[in-house]
Amino acid sequence: MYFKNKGNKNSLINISQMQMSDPTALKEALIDLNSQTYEYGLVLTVKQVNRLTDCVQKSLRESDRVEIGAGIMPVLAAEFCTSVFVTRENYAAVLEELIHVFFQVKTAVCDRISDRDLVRLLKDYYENKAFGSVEIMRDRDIDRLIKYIEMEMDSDTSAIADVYESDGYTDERA
Amino acid sequence: MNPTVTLMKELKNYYGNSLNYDNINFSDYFRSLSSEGARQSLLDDKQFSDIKNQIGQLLSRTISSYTGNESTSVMRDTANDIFTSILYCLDMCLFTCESHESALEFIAENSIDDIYSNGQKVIKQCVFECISLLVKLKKNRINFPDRSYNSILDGDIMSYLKKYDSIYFAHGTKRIFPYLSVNGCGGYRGILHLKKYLENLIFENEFVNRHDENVIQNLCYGFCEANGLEYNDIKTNIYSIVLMNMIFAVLTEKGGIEIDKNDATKLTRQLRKYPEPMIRKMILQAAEKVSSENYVQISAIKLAGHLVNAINNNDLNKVIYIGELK
Repeated sequence: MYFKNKGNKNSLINISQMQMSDPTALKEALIDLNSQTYEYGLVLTVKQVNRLTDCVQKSLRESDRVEIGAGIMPVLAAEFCTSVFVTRENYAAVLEELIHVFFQVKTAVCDRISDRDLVRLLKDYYENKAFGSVEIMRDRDIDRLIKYIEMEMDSDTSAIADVYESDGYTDERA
Repeated sequence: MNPTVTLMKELKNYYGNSLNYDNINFSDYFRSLSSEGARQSLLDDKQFSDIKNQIGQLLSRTISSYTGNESTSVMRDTANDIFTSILYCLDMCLFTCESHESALEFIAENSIDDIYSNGQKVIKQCVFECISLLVKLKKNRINFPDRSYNSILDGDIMSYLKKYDSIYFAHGTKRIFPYLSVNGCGGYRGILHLKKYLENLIFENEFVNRHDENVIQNLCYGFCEANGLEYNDIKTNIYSIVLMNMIFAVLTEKGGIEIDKNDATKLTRQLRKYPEPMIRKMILQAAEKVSSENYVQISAIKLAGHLVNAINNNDLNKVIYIGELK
C-alpha cells in the first residue's frame, strides 16, 4: 500500500490517492514463483516481472477495477505454468494477455465467480478450446468465453441444486 | 499526552479556535475535519499520512471480507461504495464528540480501527433508536386507509432496517419511501436519514392527531372526493392538507380547520389582488398563529408556494379541503 501525492495535505483523503494493489508484493511473489516454475523450464526475468507489474496496473485501469495486495497475477502464473502450451519463449507474453482477459471476464460476469474458479475455467478454455492461443481468447473468442464461463457457473449452481433436490439430501432443520 | 493535542490546546488558549469552520462539512465530516486539521498544522504530515495509510489498510481488509476472501479485485464502483461506507462510519463516531476540536483530538489520539469500531457501535445504537421510533410512530399512526402511508409503517421501514448494511453500504439512503414527510431530512445519509424521516413523521402524526379522528377522516375523504382520488391513494401528505387547511382558516379569520366555500371564494378573490411575495408573507404569518413550532414554520415555507399557485390558478381543491367537516 502506498500513496500518490504524498505531500498534498490540503486535499481530502480520496480513494484515487490510494494504490490498493501492492506492486512490491507482486514483484516478490513472481520472483518467488520462479523456484516452482523452474521445474517446467519457466523463469521470469526482473525485466519481465517489472513489465508484468505495469501490465497489471494498465489492465486494472482499463477494466475500471481495484486490486488488493499482490493480486491475481501470481495465481495465474502458478496455474498456467503447468500448461503444455506455455513455453519459456511465450510464458511472459501469455501472462500479459491473460491478465487482460481475466479482468475483462471478471467484470463481464459482475464478479459472480471466485478468482480460483475463474482461473481454473480460463485454463480449461485455453487448453481445450483455444488450444494455447491466448490471442484468440482475448479477441475473437471473448464473447464465447464469457458465455462459456457463465454456463459453467450456472451448471455449478444447478449441480448444487441437484444435490439439495436429490433423495439422498435431508434437511436437518426439518 | 500527544504533543499535537497539547499544541492544539495551546493554540486554542492563545488564539481561540484555529480551525476554519467554513471548511468543515457535516456530510463529509471525517475527511473535511482531518484535512482542515492538516491544513492548520494541527495534524502534522506524518499523522495525516498515517491516517491515509490506516484507512487504506482498513479498506483493503473490508474489500477482502466483502469478497469472502475469494477475490483479489473488485469493480471501482464497489470499492468506492465500501470507501464511502467506511468514511460514513468514521463520521458517525466523530458526531458523538462535543466540538470540532474534540473530534480532531479524537482522531489524533486514536487509531482509525478504533474510530471505525466505535462508529459501528454508534450505527448499531442508531438502528435500535430507529426501531423504537418506528414503534412510537405506529402507536400514533393516523387512522386513514392510504396505502402508501400504511405500507411504510407496516413494512417498508422495517424491511429497510433489516437490509441495512452497516459495513459495506452504511451510507445507503432509502429516498423512495412511497410516503414523504413535508420537511426534508437535512442532507442526512444512511441510518441518520431514516432517523430524521421517522422523527419528521412522528411530529406530523402528532400534529394531525391533535384533531378529532373523525374530523381528520372526513377531511381526507372529502379531499379525495374533491380530487377524484381513491381513498386508499390520497397521493398527498396528510399533515400538509391539515396544516394548509388550518393556515387558510386563519387567513379567513375564522380559525380551526374547516373552510366554508363562500369564505374560500371571497378570500381567494381578495388574495389575488396582492403580489406573490405579499401572499407568501401572509401565509407565513398565518402559520405562526397556527403553531409556533419550528417544524410547522419550515413546513409553511415549503408549502407556501403550493398555496400561492393554487390561489393564482383557482385550484384550491388540490391543496386543501373546502367544505363542511362533521
